[in-house]
Amino acid sequence: MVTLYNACRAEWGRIISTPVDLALLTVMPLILLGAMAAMLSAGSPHHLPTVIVDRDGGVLARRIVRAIDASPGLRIVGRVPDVAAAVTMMRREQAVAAVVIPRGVGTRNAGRAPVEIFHQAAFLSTGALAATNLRVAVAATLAQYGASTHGLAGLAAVDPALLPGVQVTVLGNPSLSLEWYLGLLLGPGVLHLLIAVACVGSIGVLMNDGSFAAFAVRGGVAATLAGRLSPHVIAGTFWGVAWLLWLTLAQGYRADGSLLLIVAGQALLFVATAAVALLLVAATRSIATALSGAVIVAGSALAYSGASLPIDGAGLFARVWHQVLPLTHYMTLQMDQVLGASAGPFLKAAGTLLLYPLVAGGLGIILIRRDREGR
Amino acid sequence: MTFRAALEHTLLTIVTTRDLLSLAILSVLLYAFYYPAPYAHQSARALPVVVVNGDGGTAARRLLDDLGETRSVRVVGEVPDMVAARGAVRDRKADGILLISRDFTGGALTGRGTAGIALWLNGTYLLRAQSIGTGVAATLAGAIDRWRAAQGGARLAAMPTILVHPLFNTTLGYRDYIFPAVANIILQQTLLLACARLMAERQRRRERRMSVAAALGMWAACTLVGVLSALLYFGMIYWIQDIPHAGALPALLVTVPVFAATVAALGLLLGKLFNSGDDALKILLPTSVPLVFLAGFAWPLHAMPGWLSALAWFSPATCAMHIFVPLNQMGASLEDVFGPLAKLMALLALYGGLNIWSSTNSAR
Repeated sequence: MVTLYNACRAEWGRIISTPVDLALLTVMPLILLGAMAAMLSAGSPHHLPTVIVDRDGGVLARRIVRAIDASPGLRIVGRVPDVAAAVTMMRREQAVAAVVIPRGVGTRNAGRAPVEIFHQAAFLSTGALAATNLRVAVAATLAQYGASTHGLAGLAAVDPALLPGVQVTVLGNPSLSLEWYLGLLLGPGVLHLLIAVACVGSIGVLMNDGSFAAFAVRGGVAATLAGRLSPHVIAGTFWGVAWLLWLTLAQGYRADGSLLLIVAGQALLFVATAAVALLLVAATRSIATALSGAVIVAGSALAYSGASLPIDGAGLFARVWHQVLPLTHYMTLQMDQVLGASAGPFLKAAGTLLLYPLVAGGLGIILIRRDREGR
Repeated sequence: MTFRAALEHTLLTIVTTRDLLSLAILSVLLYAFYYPAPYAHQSARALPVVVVNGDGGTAARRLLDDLGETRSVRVVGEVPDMVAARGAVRDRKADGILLISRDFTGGALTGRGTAGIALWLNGTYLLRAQSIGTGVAATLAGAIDRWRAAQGGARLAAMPTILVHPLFNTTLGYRDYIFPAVANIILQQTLLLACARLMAERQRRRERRMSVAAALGMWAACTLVGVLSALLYFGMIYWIQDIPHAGALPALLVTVPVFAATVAALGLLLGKLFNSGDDALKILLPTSVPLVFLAGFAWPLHAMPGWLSALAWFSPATCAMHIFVPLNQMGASLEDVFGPLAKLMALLALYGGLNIWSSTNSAR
């Protein structure tokens, strides 16, 4: 215990006297999380630029245009005579969607000439959001006018207004906020990589010419390494809690489950991150190579976590690697708590995160101890 | 050192130094396959939904049969009541609950359509919620209508009154959306980190000042590596990965060197701030995830606070994303991407000028 405490104190001292390492735990999380917080602060993207092609010009067409203009999610940036001109505006990113109002809209023949929405799908999330807002605005206007909106259901996304007659309840994120959703992904994702990099740097200084022999010969390897890595785990958890408080207290989102269990999960995530960093340095004996490894493990972990696109259906490698990466299990734990899941899934995810210090950390310690024997 | 000697020396240093080779070339190749792999299936599949079937009639049965045939939704079980259904969601065995009420068949027969249906979705994963909502919605109207027709009733489904057409990624594929956007960050960060490390290691060896010709030669060598990487992605990798690509080769030949030269100049410039290659990597690596999002692929730039989007344009990858995605995926011309290209050229002048100035004026 004394060894662990002394190592922890020594590491704090080293961090404070090393500007780059100090920045990694202080200024860098502040800037990177601050930028993400500012980016998401609007809740969801509003005023998505939309272009109108009005081939009718009648009363209903004008009502549709007014409804689009009144939608907070949309902003009309132009009226053009044909679809080609609208597509050119989308290619130039002056608009993300276009609405084509046909001649005779709302009349008996309207079914043969539906209102058409064209949307940007190369930048899919923005384009799809604009299309959903447009469908809601157009459908509401058509319904007010008495036109049938039958057939909408086949195009509906999650917006309740697009599932006519169906009562839709969204759990865990009732306002469908992109800020809450992306915030829960980005905060831990950014910190996971930061702490992995900081831990690689911390273990790296114990090496001398690619060998841990001089360090290992002093004994107490496991306790010293745990002590050395603990400031990074504490810093990661501190920033994780700060991020969670920003989202909940400042921005007003709420988890149906326990925030304390999410914080416990964060601590486990950063312990796992430290253990993986230890293994990377111990296995590669090069800070630069271990840093590249840290990016492979932590930098793309959000993509492999399944929190955006579920991983079921991907190839075997992606499904196996998804299970290997620690962020996957933290994300499961966190999202389950936001949803208010029962104790079983929490214990499973937390138990899996505990395997990283045991397996990756244990292997790293064995590799480092071998240097002592080889001396 | 002459321009040519510096160019050759830098290229040789990159290919013979393990860490630089790994950053500038091997990482580029690795990420071309590693990053798209979790998105290769393009859309959500077989998301688990639990059903509370209070009706039990043939219309409800037809609906569930049709639901089982969709790609995005998988019915994992029928439970007797909402308590059990909520339990299945809390135990994470289902991401959605479909409740079919007792009078559903009667409502369908009398033309009340989807009245009597309720849907609970796990909204913590927005894409999953959207996929289940879309899958259920796509099934509902058709299933009810076909069932009514089979019972001798009139079909309700006229031609839809609203049609939606996705453009440039017509299958709404998730990989086809994510990878072309993130590729710009991969190309930037691999080159930027290699250049920063190359320069920081010179700083460590106290090789600080160089002639204009040598500084230009070094910059040109780094630019060449970046050009080859970008052309590899926009040519062969997009072809192998079957990413939509418009084949705007002449425009790419103009824009790719500008991008690579800007990133190389920024990397060399940033490298001068550090006295060790490892320190440069430690500070620059963690910026990768925020830079992806600040480039505006998931959250549009105009929806960010003005000061933040203005700062985001200082990352060459932001310009690149709004040049190369339109050129490669949207069939844009050089004229269409004039705005972001002008910004990128301004960055080239800024970073390039500062790089040459600082290389030739550094303290001995």
